[in-house]
Amino acid sequence: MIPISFDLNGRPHTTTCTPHESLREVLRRAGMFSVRFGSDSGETGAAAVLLDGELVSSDVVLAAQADGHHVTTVEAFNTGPDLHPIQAAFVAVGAFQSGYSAGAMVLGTHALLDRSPDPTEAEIRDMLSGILDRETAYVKPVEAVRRAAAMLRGDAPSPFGPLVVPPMTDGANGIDHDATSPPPVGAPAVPRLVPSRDVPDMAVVGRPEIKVDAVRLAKGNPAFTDDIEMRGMLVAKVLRSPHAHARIVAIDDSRARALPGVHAVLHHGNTPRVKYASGGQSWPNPHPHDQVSFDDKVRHVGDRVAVVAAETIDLAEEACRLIDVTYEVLPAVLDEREAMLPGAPVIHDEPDTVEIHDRDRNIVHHITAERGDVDAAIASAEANGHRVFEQTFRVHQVQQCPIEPHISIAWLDEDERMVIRTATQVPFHARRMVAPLLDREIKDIRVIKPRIGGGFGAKQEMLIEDIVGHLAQVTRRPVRLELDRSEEFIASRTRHPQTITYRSVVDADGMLVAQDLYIIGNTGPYGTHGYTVQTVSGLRGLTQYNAPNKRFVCDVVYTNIPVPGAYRGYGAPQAEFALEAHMEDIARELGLDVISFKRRNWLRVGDELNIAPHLGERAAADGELEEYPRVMSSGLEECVAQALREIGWHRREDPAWKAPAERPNIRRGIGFAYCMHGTAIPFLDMGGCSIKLNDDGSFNMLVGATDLGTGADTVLGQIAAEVLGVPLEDIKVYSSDTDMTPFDTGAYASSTTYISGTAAMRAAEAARARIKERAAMLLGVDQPCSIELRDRRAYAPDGRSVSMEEIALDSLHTQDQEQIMGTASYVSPECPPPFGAQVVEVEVDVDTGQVTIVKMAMAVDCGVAINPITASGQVEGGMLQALGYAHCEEYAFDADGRMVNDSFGPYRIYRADEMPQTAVYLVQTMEDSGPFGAKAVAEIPKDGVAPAVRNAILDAVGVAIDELPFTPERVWRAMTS
Amino acid sequence: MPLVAAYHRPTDLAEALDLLADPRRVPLAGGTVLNADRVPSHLEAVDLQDLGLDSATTVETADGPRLAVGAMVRLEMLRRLLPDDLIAEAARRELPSGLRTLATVGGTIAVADPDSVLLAALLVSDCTVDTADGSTRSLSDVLSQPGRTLVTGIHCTVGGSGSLHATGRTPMDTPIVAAVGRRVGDRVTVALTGVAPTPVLVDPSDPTGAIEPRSDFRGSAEYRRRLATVLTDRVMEEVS
Repeated sequence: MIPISFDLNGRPHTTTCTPHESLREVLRRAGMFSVRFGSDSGETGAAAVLLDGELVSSDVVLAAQADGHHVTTVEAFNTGPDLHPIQAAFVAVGAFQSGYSAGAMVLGTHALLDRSPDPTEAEIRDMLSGILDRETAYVKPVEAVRRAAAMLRGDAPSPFGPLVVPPMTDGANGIDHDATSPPPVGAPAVPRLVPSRDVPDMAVVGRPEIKVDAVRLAKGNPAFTDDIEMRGMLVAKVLRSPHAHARIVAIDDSRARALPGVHAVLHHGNTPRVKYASGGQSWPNPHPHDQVSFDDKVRHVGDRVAVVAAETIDLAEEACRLIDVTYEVLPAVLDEREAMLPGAPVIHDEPDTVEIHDRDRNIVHHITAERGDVDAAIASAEANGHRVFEQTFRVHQVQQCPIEPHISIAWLDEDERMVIRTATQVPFHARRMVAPLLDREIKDIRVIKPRIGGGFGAKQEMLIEDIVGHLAQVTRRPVRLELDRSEEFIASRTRHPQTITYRSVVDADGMLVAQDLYIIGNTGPYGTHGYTVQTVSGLRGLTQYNAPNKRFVCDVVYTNIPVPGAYRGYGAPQAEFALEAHMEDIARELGLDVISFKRRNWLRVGDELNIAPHLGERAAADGELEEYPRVMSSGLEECVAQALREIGWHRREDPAWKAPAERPNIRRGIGFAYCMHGTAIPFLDMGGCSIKLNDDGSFNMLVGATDLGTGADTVLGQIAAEVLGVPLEDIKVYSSDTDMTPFDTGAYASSTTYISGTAAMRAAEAARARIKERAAMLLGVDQPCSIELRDRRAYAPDGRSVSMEEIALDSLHTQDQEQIMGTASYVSPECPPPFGAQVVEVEVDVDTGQVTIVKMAMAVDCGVAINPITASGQVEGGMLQALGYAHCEEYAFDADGRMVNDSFGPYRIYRADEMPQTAVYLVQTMEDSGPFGAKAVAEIPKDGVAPAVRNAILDAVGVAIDELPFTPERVWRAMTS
Repeated sequence: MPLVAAYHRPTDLAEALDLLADPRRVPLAGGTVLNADRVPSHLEAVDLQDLGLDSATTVETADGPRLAVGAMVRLEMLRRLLPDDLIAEAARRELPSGLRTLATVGGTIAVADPDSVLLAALLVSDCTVDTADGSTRSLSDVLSQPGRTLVTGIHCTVGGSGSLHATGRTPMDTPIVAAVGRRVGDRVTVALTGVAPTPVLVDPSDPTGAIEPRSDFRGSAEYRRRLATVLTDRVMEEVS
């Protein structure tokens, strides 16, 4: 061990370290929990600190290198209850979503403003270039730095809220307007809010409230899974397969077990073989159950072989190297089309995996759904003067890339129940699914979801909880397992690659007669979400346009790629890329204006959602439904009008703009995509909430919903506060813990605001009813329903009032004592679609094929945005991820199925200093089925960017590219072919 | 973090060289590469931070200003030192902010990344490399025949006119190919990244004549050749 001393936050710090221990590890050991792991290579910047005043990634600084230096973490700012002005600025503009890298951002700002008190945007973005953010698109962090600079210069901060923009339509129809008029002016971080007359003014809902967890995030307080210390905790490491497909002939773990400090080595030879499916979905999990904790066969590079629990990570890694594994290497297949061919290797040949549709062809599911008669429509097309268009698209594999990797810690509590503290989106599903694997009853397991550092679907699995559970049971010690960045790429979850073929029949008037969609979905070696993701591709790909005849056929296919699963958008981005590209090309082929063509066919209020009920986990059989759900609210026309004005759509007709004379190698283009998504899964997604009144008139609200950084806790709190007539600060939100909070299916399917929000509203209404009764009693009013709650008081019709605190004290301590509380749960029969218009401006270098995204703008109808700041943050972050999908991110493999770009350098995600301009419009509509009119917002921004970029490239250079991503060589080859 | 077995921090060059005489020992400069993985090793790190190799000065010469930079000068310092020069832009492109404050000039030369835009910029800046054995060689020589001697500093030309053109997946992506050029007086030099095992100087009139690019998932050899020609032409047009 090496003795080291450095100045830590202004005080001497003396400790010891190993030669290879990083500064990050030593700082965390010193209690600086704001310094967080994102990758060993320092690329994420989540562990950035100030070293002698400079922002550095402490992952790549040896602790010994810091000896004699000055180290600053964000804890240095936490000298009292108040926030430092920099922290306050980030909080004020909603710049933290998950807040996983909050400390780094605050420190980077501090260092920048020290040397440049009035920084340019380029300087700000350059500073942020070292801190990867998968959530905000850097829009609000840039604004936060500007605001902090102003505050530190002594300028008074202005309120931060939406910019109200007048409507351009009557809601249903486009109205005449000057298409060349400039868009409203405002900072990019400010959402443009287009109000609806149907939406009443409210006290808390619709307001840009500060997030309920803002202080904890801004201060870097210990809030995440890894931010606890437990005596005797062991560290786990998984030995992973180097082969894409192999049988494990033998494992000899004797050398690993003999290593001092190793407490357990588990593999298929000593772990019960219990079949399961890892997808975090409602009971019963869809078949096939094709996984076990440890198998005698590996099916992708990175698959589990064994796991070690040891005193230190070094020992665990060394023990993994000492496990001798003999493999029989088998042929592998990565492409979903090849996997179906005769002679392809059979990936699940084990007899105990059942309900595989066609095992020999690796087809795990075959899905069909049809409305009308597509074959007849195609057969009669020529005779009817209709045109048939067929087009095939290929979409690729990408990763969610939460900056916080998967991490779980398990231990046996004082009653010897299993406690699993884990970064999960689905704590209740995880509890149910892990129970049989550990041979425990559900009641003997407690799953705690602390703060999550982003998930985007990657954590909608029971992914590593069984491993730490097994190890905690065997060792009877706490066990921690955290994936490293490479493991995140090869051993967590990804987006499904697909081959998508559309056939569309269009009549002479440009009306769709039929749409036929065939998808080959690549689910990798395990089913997980394979069935449901592809069904969502089907329903999204066939819902947003009306066609009397529709058919979806899908083969879900096993291959040997790293496992696809849930990823924000859940099948929609793939289908909508193909659909919006296909519709663009049809319009061009027919010589029609693309907006007009799409408008002729797109869904309107009152139209049926007629194929969705026939797809999914609870699909209705043909003839089962007497009535189909219908669209009850749509702001699509307004979205389109606002988006087209924002992007300057008219410039598409300006040759001088499209081919600038001063830059002869550049062609400019603008692309459009119409987007539609869903809001929760009807009859399936369920959320629960309980609310109780405290002595001081505040409320504790317990929810099972999981806030991944989305602002869900804030939004649910706002809903309850609105009902109860109190400010948001009086609602203390706690989520989620399977022992403490009500059940919730989890954070997915854009369900939290709609489902859990309705549960919160109803629980608050139940509490409100009792509060009114107590208030009526105190005020001597006969009619409790005449009592109105507002401003922390209950008002009688004559103006007399009693405070919430007085009601609480009376009910808890004085007379007829009772705990005023409300409990409710909600499951929806509806799935109201949010709508959106996505536009993108690009520049294409005709000599190199390089595409530069100049601007992205999206107008979204998400009903009533409960919090316009968090809602716009969702749109900004969603567009950023979608841009990566379109433009640069992709899994690359060698011939043996090994991923060759499993780190953030070669696997490119956008940095702050290269982002295009962005603009977000929130178009209000009143969705009567949602809480205070809300619909979903989190996933729809994933849907339109890829097709809009594709269509913009088409507009710029005239080439239609039907494969993602639009890398320079792909575009260049398309232009030159 | 590599599993280095020991850590040394010498206080002068002689002590450092003495330590580095043992082949198990490797120089630790900024650490952004050496410290960035967990590959097990029996290496011992020799930290160069206390050797006084972190100064940078500009010297006026008959041929114009020359920059003298210690091997331990951080890329961020280089960027701030020459805010308007080609080298500053190249340093900015090399790494994001939180790594640029760690990575050093000497470490960048030692790693010799074929995609390093900074090395390309130094190549066109008539860069010479001082090594601990007392010799001074051109950067081009050092990159093609690195040897094991310790880099202690560099000298390079600044001023004139410079140009940098790159093609990547995104604007700040590590370029698939970058072309960097500098004109000082009538002399124009051009270097390319992404077309050879290290960044290389090329003949501006025939940039693909002596290169054999590799193919990878970001770009085929054919495409890289194409970029070499296009980007070199653009650089030449700009500096001319």
